[in-house]
Amino acid sequence: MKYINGRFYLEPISAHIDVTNKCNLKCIYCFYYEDPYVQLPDRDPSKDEILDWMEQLAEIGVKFLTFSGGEAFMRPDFLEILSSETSENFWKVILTNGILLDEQTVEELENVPKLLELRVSLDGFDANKKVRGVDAKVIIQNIDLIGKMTDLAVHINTMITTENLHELEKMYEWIEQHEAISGWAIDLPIVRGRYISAMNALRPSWSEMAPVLKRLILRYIDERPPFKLAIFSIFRESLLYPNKIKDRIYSFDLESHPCSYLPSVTIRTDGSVTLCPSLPFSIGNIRERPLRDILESPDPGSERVLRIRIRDIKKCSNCRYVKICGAGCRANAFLETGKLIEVDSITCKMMEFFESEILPHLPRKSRELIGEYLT
Amino acid sequence: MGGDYKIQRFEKRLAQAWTEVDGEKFVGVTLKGHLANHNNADPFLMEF
Repeated sequence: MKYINGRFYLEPISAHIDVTNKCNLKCIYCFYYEDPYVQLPDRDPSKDEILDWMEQLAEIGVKFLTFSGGEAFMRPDFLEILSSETSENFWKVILTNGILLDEQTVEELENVPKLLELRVSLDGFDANKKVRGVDAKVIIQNIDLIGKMTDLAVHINTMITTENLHELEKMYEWIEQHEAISGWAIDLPIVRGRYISAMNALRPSWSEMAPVLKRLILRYIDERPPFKLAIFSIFRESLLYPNKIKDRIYSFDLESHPCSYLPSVTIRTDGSVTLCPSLPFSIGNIRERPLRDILESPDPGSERVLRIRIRDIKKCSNCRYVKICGAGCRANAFLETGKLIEVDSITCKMMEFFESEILPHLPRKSRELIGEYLT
Repeated sequence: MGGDYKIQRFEKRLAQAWTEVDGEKFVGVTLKGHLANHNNADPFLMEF
């Protein structure tokens, strides 16, 4: 994907496939179910269909593949898909709730070629039961199993809610000690699906959240524990190692498309193709025409998303953070305001917090590197 | 098992994965790409 200022075309190197609509949990913030933007199909794609989609992805040069759902392991044939000849074309990540990772499954996973990591959702210890409906012990037991039986890497995905804010520091200590866990990502649920009605009760206020996140980050900077930490819009472990990232990052300009993840494409269970799992706009359907055609000539109406430029979001044009945040996330903006061309106020708040509370604590070279992006 | 082993193991695999990408097709990520970190966003691009 060439994706330099002012110019892009859809040539993904990475993809995300939802392999099933089925899930064995009923998380109260789930974006996938009861979503007003997407009507889920009655049936899942067949194994042959998914393998065909994977073949098409390989043909256009996609190298990375993320599997999700629903819960991907609810498919009885999921391990067959992972172990197929087509699957060998991709480095793979699986997003899972971890419940079905029993001994036999873990054993088979170890033999899956090019499996980079498992991203397992865990929202705390006591809080997990309240929010996700399953005792955290079940998930932890399965992650322990992975550590004992295999060399697979596990990454924990946590969504912040009012229920688990007080447990994040305890999670930090557990993750730090765990032999299988190499990463922890903390995010806010997006305003889709069940979260639309649950948000008022579940979303902590910024004044509740900010001190907890700051403590976690400063502790991480101080201790440099053996896992990679990422917190939505304000921190990533790589910021501590400026020499590692200085040649990898570049800036937006006002002619850029605002999305950071254009080199990726998502295929939903109904075959619809979207730019990311969060933004509910299809650019075509792989059941109706080949993926290559869709990427070369997206469905009419897709320009609503594809032609956005940062300069279109006028309030962002003169902002001192625009070269860092690229006018924020279009999914956030759309889901919070109903408009694609609108300020993403969540990212605005995060940028201010990042500059005042986090940036001063980063290494000098990191501060200098990031300082070049402030206008 | 040494603590750093966990990160090194992951980064080694990730680096191996990125060697398969045509450098002409991908030039890097924005700082936002590094920071955005949505849990359901593309993990490969986020970790780049």
